Amino acid sequence: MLVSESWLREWVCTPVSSEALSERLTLAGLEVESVDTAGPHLDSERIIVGQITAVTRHPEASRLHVCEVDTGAPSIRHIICGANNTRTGLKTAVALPGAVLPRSGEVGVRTVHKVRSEGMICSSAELGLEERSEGILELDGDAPLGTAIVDYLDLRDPLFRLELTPNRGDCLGIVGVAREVATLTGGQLAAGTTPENRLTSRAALEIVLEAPAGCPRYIGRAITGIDMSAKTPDWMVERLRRSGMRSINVVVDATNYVMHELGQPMHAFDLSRIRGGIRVRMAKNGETLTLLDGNTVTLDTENLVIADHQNAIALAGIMGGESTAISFDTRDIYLEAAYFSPSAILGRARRLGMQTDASHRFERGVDSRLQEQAIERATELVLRIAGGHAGPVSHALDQSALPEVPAIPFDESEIKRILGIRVPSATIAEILKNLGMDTVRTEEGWNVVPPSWRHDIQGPHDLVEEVGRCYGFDRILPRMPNAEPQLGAHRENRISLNEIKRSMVHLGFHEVITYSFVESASQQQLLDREDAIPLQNPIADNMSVMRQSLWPGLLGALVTNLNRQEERVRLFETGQIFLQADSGSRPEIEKLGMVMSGHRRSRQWGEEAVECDFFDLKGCLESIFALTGQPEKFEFLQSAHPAMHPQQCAGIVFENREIGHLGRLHPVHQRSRGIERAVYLAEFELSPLRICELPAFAEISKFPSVQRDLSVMVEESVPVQSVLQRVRETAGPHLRKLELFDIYRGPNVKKNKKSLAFGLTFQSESSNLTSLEMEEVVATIVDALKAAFGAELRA
Amino acid sequence: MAVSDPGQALVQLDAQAEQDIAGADSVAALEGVRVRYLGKKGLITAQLKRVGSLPVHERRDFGRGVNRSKARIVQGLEQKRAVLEAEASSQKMAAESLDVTQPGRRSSSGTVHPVTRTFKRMEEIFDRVGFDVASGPEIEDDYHNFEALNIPADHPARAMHDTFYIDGHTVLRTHTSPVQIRYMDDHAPPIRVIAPGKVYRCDSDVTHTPMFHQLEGLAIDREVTFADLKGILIHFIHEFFEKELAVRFRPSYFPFTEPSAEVDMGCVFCNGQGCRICKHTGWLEVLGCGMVHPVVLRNGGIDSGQYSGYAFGMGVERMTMLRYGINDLRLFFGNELRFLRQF
Repeated sequence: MLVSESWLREWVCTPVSSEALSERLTLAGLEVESVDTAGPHLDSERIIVGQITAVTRHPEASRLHVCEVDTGAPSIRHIICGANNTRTGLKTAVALPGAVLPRSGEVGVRTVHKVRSEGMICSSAELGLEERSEGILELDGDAPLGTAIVDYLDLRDPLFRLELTPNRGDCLGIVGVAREVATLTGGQLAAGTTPENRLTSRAALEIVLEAPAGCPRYIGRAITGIDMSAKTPDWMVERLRRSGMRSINVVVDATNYVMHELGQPMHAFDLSRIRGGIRVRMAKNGETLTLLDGNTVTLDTENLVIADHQNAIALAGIMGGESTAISFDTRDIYLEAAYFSPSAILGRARRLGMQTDASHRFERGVDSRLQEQAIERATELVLRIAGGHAGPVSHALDQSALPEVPAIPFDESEIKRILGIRVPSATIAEILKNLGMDTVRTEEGWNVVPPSWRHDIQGPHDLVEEVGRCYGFDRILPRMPNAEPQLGAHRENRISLNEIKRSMVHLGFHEVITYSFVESASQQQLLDREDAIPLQNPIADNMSVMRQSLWPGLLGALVTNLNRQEERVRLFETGQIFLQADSGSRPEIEKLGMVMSGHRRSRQWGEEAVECDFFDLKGCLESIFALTGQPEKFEFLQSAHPAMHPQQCAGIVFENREIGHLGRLHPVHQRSRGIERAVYLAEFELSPLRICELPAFAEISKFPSVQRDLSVMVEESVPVQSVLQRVRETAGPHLRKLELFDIYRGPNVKKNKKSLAFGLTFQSESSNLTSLEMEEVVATIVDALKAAFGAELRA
Repeated sequence: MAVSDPGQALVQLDAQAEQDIAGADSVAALEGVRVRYLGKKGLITAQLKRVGSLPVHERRDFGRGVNRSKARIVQGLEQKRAVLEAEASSQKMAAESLDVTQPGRRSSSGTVHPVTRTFKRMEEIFDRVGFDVASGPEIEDDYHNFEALNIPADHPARAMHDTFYIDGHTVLRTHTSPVQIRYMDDHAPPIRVIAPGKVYRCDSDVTHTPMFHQLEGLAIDREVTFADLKGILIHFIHEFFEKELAVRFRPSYFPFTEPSAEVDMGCVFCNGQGCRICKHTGWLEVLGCGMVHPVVLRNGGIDSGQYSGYAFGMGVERMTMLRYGINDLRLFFGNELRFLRQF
């Protein structure tokens, strides 16, 4: 909402300065986003009102005119101008040599094809008043010659840009803001009297309210014999402009002016185009209506329309129809001022892809008692500017459908209970009264009836807010937190997400956060599934479905960084992935995903640069799983995944359930992303990691430990994990540690075989272990491995 | 008598030994000296053997003399050995010199995302004043995201949320406020909880990303007032920025709180003097808050006559940008290591 200060001060008398006003409004909830002047700082000496006293065609350039211009100075100036609306007698804006215009810079004396031009006749755009304009500025005939434009149009007037919250529809008019200023500064509101217009015509239409719930009050008036060629006066054009509206014609300008002043949207029809009378009704299903902007909309029974006895002629509260639009040929008009219920307007414009000044106001609620004042004000303006004969005002009203004004029982102790301060009763009473509330003392407290323009005041909590904001939130003293102890909330066996992230960081990974929506096709290819949840209104094609894995995002981040010449990339992300169950539910699963590519270690002296491989990433996972205190519960089994290299993919199994995968990105996916080096990926559910086993102390043995190394040869196809498991199962109760310290293939080992070397550490809690015992244990292990895997002992 | 004076011989022996010890220039040479005097066939050993052959009255004095010489030589040898070993050790160490300015052998560390860093700090600050942490689904139903929060269909406030729709009644949550309702469903007052999380709005430009992070707070108890709300948020802002910044509460409107306020703090970049970042106002808007609307309490199954509460919400990226001086929101989701490494 743009508020001209001079217009505002016509309605409220307050001694407060512009700056203080802005501050006070902001601190009362009407945020002043910015304060500018109504126009640019135009040179008051050199940009002035002038009159064209003669126009001749340029002798050598037929599209140019040579104008004789009177600026009130002793001599007439010659100025060359190309505009089509130059004409003798026109008053306009003249920039004299030396003046600086906001866009085109300094004006000089020029010679165009041998004719001297002493200045420039300006358009509205050249003066910086509008973005675009046609022709030179046309001023009123009584504009005084030689007056500075900046004074004549009052361009120094401060302009407040208010950022209004949706509950304050009452401030979508200058008068509403003035009312607020009066309350906040103790100013005097100008009496909002309804002007009296003389009736000189009997022209009238019958109005029927066929949908009173949507339109409980409709007021109309015919004005006949108006002069559409009348020019909207400069002061009105200027106020409309600084309120963000363009001058259209005198009738539309008058209705827009009233809307911006009082907050009541109005409409004017061409009376001769209305057949019969006015019917306010719901649209029929499929009914079409061509609007003022030329668009034809198809309506349904949710849309309220203004109709004549044949067709819909306006979309109520949103926009008028084209068939009854005011044109230059219009002689007779019909003015409308109505109260449309917010519920009948809400969302309707948006569904048709529109938003108008009228719908914006009706959605937020217009004062249901404002219509008569508005129609008289508009009539007054039209008659004054364009003449004509006003007919009687026709009222149609369904009292029972008007919004109910609640009587709110209000106990002032609520103020203390909610705001935490005591506000004196007299102050409360004064604030409520200034806001236009009727207050009556009762035995319990007050009975408060809010004014018809405050639809947002429904209950005691609203009154608390009003008192709070007018009294000032800054007067509420903060009470510092004084927390009660929260006992029983601590659980040692919980692993926080932060702890997991910290471990990832220690393993050299950088955390990324990628969007939860991804490109449909590439996710489909990567995961080979087509059941991603699509968004109805994605913001971009490459963000159209919810992710089912963290990999699409992680791979994207990897590529971004590889493209930035990063040699070694390790990234991780935690977050939800989104699935669709057959039952219709949409489970969200929190996962940890990681990606690794490039060298195993950052390049450094004394070390050969080695490319990372599957086991680097697996080692990272093992470190993370170790946080739980029982890493052995997380198993890695040969598996397959569409995103993975078929020979380098493991499933991660926890309690007999596959919770994720680890492996090398399939070369097809690697190539399609233009990645040269191998990429390793992992992803798994986080929930099994969030709980850890608490340490359980075991007595430390007093007896020495015994170390034995063992080396066996097995077929390549035998999984190492099975061998290790068999060793553990057969090594007896004293095995303390089992380390696989070498895997060897090559000379001295047969083809298709591998040699595995283990270190076994034994210790007893109750005795020294003898060599004999140890030899027996080792023999048992060797026999077991031989039986299970055909293993051969290596010397 | 043909036998020379034994005492005289010992004196000579002592002098000779002293000279030999002094002349030894290595541990090995010193060992040679030791053997020459104290070895089985050594000179001192020979003198000791002589004791028995002396007349009885000379034995005592001579024996003592020999033992004194032996002790002197042993001591001399030990002293010399210590000197020689120290020399050898320093020579060995001299050969073991290295350049201590060479970088250490290391595996490089990663970083957490700045949003994580900020969330962690926020959680710690609120933890110290007794707030629990809760979460909720990111795909929300219309009821929890809007209806229960006093935002009915077609309410103008919905226009403030550019909502992503999954279907007619399912959305990507536009704020973390639905967690308020979910938490009230499961917990009775007193309630003190924060809900950090991702939220989504269908908006993308220099200052908006379609996904971002919020931290929601909710406290409900008997006698919770706006004064408490001011207290907790002023405390939070001072803790978070580690600075006693000016804080002001500006009335505003949210359908789920009444009264509602927006919180401005003195600009951290210009100390409230006015700069480009605060648009020359000296103030930065950082939070929305208010007293929980009675309708919301009722929807959460809480008696609004008995209990009152406050709620607040803030944008985590914005707080992070203000804390570390980050000037472009889009960096948060660009995931460039050049950005991430800085945190």
